[in-house]
Amino acid sequence: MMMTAQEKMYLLFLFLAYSALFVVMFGFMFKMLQKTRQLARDIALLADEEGKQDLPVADAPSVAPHVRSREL
Amino acid sequence: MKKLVKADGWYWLLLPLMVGALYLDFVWSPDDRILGASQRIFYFHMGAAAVVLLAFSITAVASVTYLLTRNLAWDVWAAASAEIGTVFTTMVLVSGTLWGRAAWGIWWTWDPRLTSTLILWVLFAGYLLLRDSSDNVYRRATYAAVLALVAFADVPIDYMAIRWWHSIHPVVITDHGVNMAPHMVDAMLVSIVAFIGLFVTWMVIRVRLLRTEMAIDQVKNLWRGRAGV
Repeated sequence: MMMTAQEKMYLLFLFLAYSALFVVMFGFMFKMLQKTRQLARDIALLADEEGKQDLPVADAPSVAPHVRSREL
Repeated sequence: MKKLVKADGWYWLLLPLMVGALYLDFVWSPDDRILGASQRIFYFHMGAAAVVLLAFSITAVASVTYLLTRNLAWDVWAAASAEIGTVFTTMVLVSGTLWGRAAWGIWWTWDPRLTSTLILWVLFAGYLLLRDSSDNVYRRATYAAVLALVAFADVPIDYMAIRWWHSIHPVVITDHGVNMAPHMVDAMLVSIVAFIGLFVTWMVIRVRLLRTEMAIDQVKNLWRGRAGV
């Protein structure tokens, strides 16, 4: 079964269309790679911090108790 | 080279490979004498099938290693590979159905190869459902590893089905080599390599995400423990 010139042209269009789709998909995948790398880095930092210190529990009021209140 | 791997630079080598594979499949490879242009579906079908074999083999090896070591890192590899393998099995089934319609005139038949591939898809879909069923990570990993090994038993059966039983599915790889025209073999091989590259990229992304999920759960549990919840 031989292809006509028109069918060959359709195949070329299909190749271009699929290539364009893959280029778009590769762009998204690259973003995913970057984001997952960033996530992995952040979570490693968080785990390090957790290992080093306790949760930041406030042992004093965040506002000094003797702040003069506004006169009413 | 190390820098290339570290910064995900290797990834950009994959784009020309994939576009090259598409060029070989659509433009460069000759028409089949009987099937004509629809033969080109085969290159996607074969590329996806090669990835299925690779992905489920990785799942099986990682599952055995998890059962031996009880290290959750292996469970992450098994889960990521099974997920991607299931996606590629879907691609194999869809492309096979399209090719079957062109070659045999029917969308589906209960042929040994087609049936064993469908069973494989169902088994690994069950594996993915099982992974969502328990919150205890160690119990989940153990059950999943056992099911993965049971499911993997279907992989060699699937491969050998067309050799053991009467099947209408063509046998491409024989004892005497690949049963195709040389240009078609080249297109098929490049497609397989490009699809494996795609699989590697998805694996990198999925493994990183699963590791992050696991680490977030650990931090959450730590905080809950401290807060006494």
